[in-house]
Amino acid sequence: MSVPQGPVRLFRLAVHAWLILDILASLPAAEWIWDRPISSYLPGPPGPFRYLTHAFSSWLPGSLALPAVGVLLLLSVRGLFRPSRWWSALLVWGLFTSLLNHAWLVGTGGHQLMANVLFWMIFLPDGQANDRPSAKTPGGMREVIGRTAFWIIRLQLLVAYGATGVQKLTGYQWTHGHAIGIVSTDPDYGPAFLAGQGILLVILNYAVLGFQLTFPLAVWWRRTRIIWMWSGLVFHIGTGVAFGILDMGLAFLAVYPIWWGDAKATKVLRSMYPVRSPQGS
Amino acid sequence: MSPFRKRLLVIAFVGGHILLVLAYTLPQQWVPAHLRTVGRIWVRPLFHQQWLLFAPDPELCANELQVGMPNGEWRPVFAADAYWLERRMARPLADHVAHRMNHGDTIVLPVLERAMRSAVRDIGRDVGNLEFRLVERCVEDPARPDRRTERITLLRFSDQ
Repeated sequence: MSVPQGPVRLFRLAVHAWLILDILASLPAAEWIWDRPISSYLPGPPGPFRYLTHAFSSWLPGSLALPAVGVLLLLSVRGLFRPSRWWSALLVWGLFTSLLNHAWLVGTGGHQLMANVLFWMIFLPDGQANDRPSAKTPGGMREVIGRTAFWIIRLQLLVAYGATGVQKLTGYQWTHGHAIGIVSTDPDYGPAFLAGQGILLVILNYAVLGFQLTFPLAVWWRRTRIIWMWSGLVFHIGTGVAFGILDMGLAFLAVYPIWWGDAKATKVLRSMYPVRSPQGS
Repeated sequence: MSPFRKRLLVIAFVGGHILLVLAYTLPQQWVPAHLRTVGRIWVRPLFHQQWLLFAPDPELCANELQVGMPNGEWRPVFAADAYWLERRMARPLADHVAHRMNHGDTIVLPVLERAMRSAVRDIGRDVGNLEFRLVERCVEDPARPDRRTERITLLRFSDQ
């Protein structure tokens, strides 16, 4: 039941690549997002964790938000080329979460998913020799923590799909086939050309609902996993472009590799880094 | 530690965490109140999430905040040609204002007012006492979503 290294390394690469893209895409609006943010002050939840998750509203001055973005970008680039380290993962999580809470109006469910998986990435095994069960890990707790983090990240993706699907079942518009019609005629979302396509709207409505509800089941078997992940690619790119939430869609897609098989992930890694795997093995 | 005990610990940690996340994210009516409270205490500090985009229903109203210009015209708080991430901030802000108003608030919350005034700070520098309004374009019949009726409300703030 050890943690497969191929999917973990590919997942790490995808997450760091997403962070870089997200930061670069946000830079043209940096003044409004981070420097003099429109999102007003959020105190954060009670308890000591707010010093980590809401650093800019608890102890760090807001003027340090832009330098923090620079540090996060550098650490993310490091994550593409260097072996992962727990301190680096901790810094990335703390900076990302604090910047997200500093600019909460611009965040999406994809950003929340990232904040979640970045936390658990602190505890993922880094593929080094001292991760393997040995005399250096008394009681094997490091192995237990690594496996726990791996499975929580995997299940977190399923919870995200399953929870939103189940929430839709408790409403009226999704179960009656009206939801996509309402969204497509909303001037902030669209796409407007769908508005008059009666039966197509209903089909899309139930296809989205079906996809989200069945994803948590489908990924457990290789054959269905491939089909559902290709469907997810189409779904997230399509909704991302149409609704202006491509960053959210890409965040979900960046987590997919954690579900891949070890052989497939290792093959992809070798094609990307033919000389040496990027995560230090 | 034996492999069996390791496996048991992993299952206990993962199962406990996911159970509490589910208690926080599943529909309110599906989860016992006390379990939901425990879930909220566990999830909110570190793992905040709701996954409620277009759920349980998409918004029937497309909400927009507009600011009054000195020449008497109204324009969105973010101009149509603003960068896409700037424009994206306008919608959740308008939705927050609309939800509060639809729940009986007649005065905009200070935290939302600050965000609105910050969004138009370039205009505000030249013009004092800016006025804001909420424009709701609402679907009346979900089977005919292309027919929307417009409702306009002038916004009031705590210092007015």
